[in-house]
Amino acid sequence: MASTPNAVSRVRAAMRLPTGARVAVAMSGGVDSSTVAALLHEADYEVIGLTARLYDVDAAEAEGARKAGTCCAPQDARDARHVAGQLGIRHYAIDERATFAATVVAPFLAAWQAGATPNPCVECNRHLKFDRLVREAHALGAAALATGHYARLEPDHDGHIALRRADDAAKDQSYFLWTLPADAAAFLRFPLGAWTKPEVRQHAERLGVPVAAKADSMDVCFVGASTAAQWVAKHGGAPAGAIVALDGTRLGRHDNLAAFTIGQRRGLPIPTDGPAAAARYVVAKHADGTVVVGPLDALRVGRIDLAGCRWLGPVPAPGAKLSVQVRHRGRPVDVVLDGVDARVATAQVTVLGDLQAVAAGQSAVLFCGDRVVGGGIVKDSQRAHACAPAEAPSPMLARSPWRAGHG
Amino acid sequence: MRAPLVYLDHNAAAPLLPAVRAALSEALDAGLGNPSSVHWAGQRARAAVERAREQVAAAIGARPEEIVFTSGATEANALAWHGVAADAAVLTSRVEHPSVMALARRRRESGCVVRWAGADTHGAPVAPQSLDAQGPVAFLSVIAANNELGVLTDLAAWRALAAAWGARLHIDATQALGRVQVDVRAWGAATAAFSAAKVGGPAGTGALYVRTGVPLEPLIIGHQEGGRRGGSENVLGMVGFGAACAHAADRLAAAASVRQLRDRLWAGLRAAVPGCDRNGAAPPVVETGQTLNVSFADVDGSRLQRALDVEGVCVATGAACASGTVEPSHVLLALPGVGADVARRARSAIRLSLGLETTPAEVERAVEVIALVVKRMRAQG
Repeated sequence: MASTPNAVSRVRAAMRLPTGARVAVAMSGGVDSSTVAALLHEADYEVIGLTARLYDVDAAEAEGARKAGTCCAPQDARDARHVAGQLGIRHYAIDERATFAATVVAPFLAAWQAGATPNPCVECNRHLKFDRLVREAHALGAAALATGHYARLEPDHDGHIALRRADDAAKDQSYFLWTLPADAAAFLRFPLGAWTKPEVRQHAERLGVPVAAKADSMDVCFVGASTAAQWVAKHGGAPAGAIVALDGTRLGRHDNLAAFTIGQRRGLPIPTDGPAAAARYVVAKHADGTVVVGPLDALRVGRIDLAGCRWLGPVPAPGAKLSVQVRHRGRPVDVVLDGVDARVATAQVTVLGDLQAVAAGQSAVLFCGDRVVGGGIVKDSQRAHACAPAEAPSPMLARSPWRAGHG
Repeated sequence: MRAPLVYLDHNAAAPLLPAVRAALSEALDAGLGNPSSVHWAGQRARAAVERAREQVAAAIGARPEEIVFTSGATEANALAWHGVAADAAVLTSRVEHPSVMALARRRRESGCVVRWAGADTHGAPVAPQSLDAQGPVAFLSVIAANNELGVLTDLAAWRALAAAWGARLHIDATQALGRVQVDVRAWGAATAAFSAAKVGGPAGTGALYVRTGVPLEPLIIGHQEGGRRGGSENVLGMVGFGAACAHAADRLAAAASVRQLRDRLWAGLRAAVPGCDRNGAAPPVVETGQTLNVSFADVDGSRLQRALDVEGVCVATGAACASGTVEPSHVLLALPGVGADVARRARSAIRLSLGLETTPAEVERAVEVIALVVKRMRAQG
């Protein structure tokens, strides 16, 4: 186990601030952000804990959320306050329910209803962590806002603050962070970017962090123990519609568009013989409720159109060779940037490698090596025309792209 | 080394008085037993409790047997509502403490008539006319001094209304004790609620005054407190409350100097911070003199509270926000005459409350820090 002086010097190096500086920490009540607060306190910063209260839960949902170990439920706010109390640092819970409802929950519902696949963790980072908590930290006179994200945020040789993948590849959360604005990049710190999860747990125990043994958060917090399909059905519902083959042949019907994910194979309410036998994967969803199924090959993507693009440094030139990641823990795939229009924040990439099951609404994050160059929301994707047989989709495809981990 | 805290939240909890600390220390050393025990240790405890009862009674113009010790003013309010007038139609006001607002909501949910008196522009609840077409109710519950504004209620009007209706009058006097002369008999109260923590006693102790002859059904069954509040006595709390009440006169004597400091605080803020408005209780209205409720234009009150705390200045917002959910103060929202501005004013309000221990240096520091922080927050937009 790393010695205490080593931990202190690592933390100070990540903070790039003199000791005694006032630092806000976004505390979710989980082990990562709690440990960040404890480490910063140990490293002699003036630490202020901030917890955003994001949503109300009824008793049943609270139980589900507790079991699912999601973040930012009332119990987690209490955990954060408890941790802060044990450390002897100031802690404030901030009412951000209205912001969260408007910027995360409502777009999440609208996207599923429109046949898209949203990533609420990306939006929560964009609106809550990079905006509301940054504002709060500024108002409190803090010199920086630290979070428990696993990603690295460091000045590059060119003076830009570069966002890079975490050293612990298994925990890397850089995918969720592509909306980071430049001013927030200069203000935020991710002290755990160079730490492994086992190290974090060791130091949590060493520092007596009360939540050291708490399970990692998974799943979308406000959905709790239900699936997205169940949650959407309960909160206004998604269109019913037809299930059709690529050629338009009608194969069946469904009553909840949100129950289907691009790449899904199991649980389709269509006959397993006849014309449907070869068409076993969801390959497209439409706002009118139509679900299109097709063969595995139809899932392969050759080109992606991005909207709402953000660039974390200079806008790359067309022709740039980059890699794209379209889901958390997804494998990066080589792409060429075809076009960029910074004015309307769009971009197009041609996929060079094998990439399957890209849904509208997902975040597509562009990397150069381990550095996040930028990203956008998938607006559309076109099928690859290559004749090579596609590999079977990874087990991840059976699950929703947002389902593993959060940010 | 950080500067010492500037504590401007005396309406939430006043610092423990040195005399209370001494009385508690003496009681701790005395090896007191259970006041119900017949042995010497029990008898000493009984003597301490009854001495405390006398001290509390003397401070409010009551007889000792009219004092029922409770866990605080919230329990005292609940005991009055349930014990005197369970299931009765009630009249209360829109500017009560949250503990009474919650009782009123519960009463309404259980199907009883709950009528609401509004507030005047200072935030004082206005007793309706006795010939009110809606007719009399059996139980009136009103605050004596508002916790958020410090404004004092015209209790004579409420007494007259209770007399005209033949109703029982409950007075939540939590913020009045130690600020103004309390005389429950002159107030015409059937019951009145008090808290130790507001007068330099230990938190978790309060009392309900119950006028002789007013029947009281207990919330907690037991022989203690004359069968009106069961459970072994909180001897230390009672001793501390008694000691604090014994010094209530000192607190009253200092009220004028506290008022001067409060006025200096307001004058300092007005000079140093553009765009600040005082809420309710504006002179020449009668008020406790230790509270200042101010809204700062374009500043979120709860965020300002946090930012001030980080700089070592403790203040309150309009309402409790312990769980991180902040609703604008119902008291400020009840103020008439602020018009469409009222919600904005309520959201940008903080409450500064001073006390016996407040120093001129604290007031100067508070003005300095508030000016700095408000300027910083406005610059950030």
